[in-house]
Amino acid sequence: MNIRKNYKNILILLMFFPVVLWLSMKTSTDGDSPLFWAFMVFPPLLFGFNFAVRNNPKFKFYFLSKFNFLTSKYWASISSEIPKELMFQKMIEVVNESNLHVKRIDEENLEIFATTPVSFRSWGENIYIDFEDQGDQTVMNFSSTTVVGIISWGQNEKNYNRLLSRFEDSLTI
Amino acid sequence: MGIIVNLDVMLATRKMKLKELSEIVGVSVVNLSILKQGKVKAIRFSTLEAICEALDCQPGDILEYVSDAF
Repeated sequence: MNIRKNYKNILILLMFFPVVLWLSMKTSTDGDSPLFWAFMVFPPLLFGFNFAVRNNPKFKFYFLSKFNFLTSKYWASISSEIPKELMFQKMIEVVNESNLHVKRIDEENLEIFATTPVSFRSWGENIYIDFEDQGDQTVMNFSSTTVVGIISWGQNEKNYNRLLSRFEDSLTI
Repeated sequence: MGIIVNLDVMLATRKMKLKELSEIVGVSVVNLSILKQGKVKAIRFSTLEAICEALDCQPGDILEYVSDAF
């Protein structure tokens, strides 16, 4: 679990709920304030929306946005001397051999979008991989984000470590 | 320099394409391309044996050690 990395999200939520409760109490005395119910209904609706759009690659920036405080994100990079195009092909092989579900492979922009399956431990994460040149090195940028949940409970880091381990193993041919 | 992979030289000598070798050896073209560029972490004896058999050559024809001193 990585609470330290998600402390901003937790703080925002901790500040958010007292405000909602205060507003609901101020606007209604019998506890059936529309504002209160709106905020009770809002989170499930948002979670439903996130699930509905999770497989759509156009929502990459929505999930990875720093303003989307209801998801937990993790970024990491790997450098390699393997040329960019070759590393992209290699990662497609690695992702296909893993338990990830490949949703989109953009061969023009060298981007891979995959999701992890829903399990008892996780609602699933979205994984975005892209590549860039830095001098004579290729840098693979890895992003993992929860679909719902302000804490990933270490799942984002696990996704990265698993993929990195599989990538390194695959370099033994 | 360390270990130099001369797979491209052997392929040219045998007039064989990487894809053909990939089909014979059972290793993906991507992996052979990475091997050709000398970027792999390690090579299994079984892979080396299959490549040598396909190209009718010795491991020393594919791998070469060049000292860093020069």
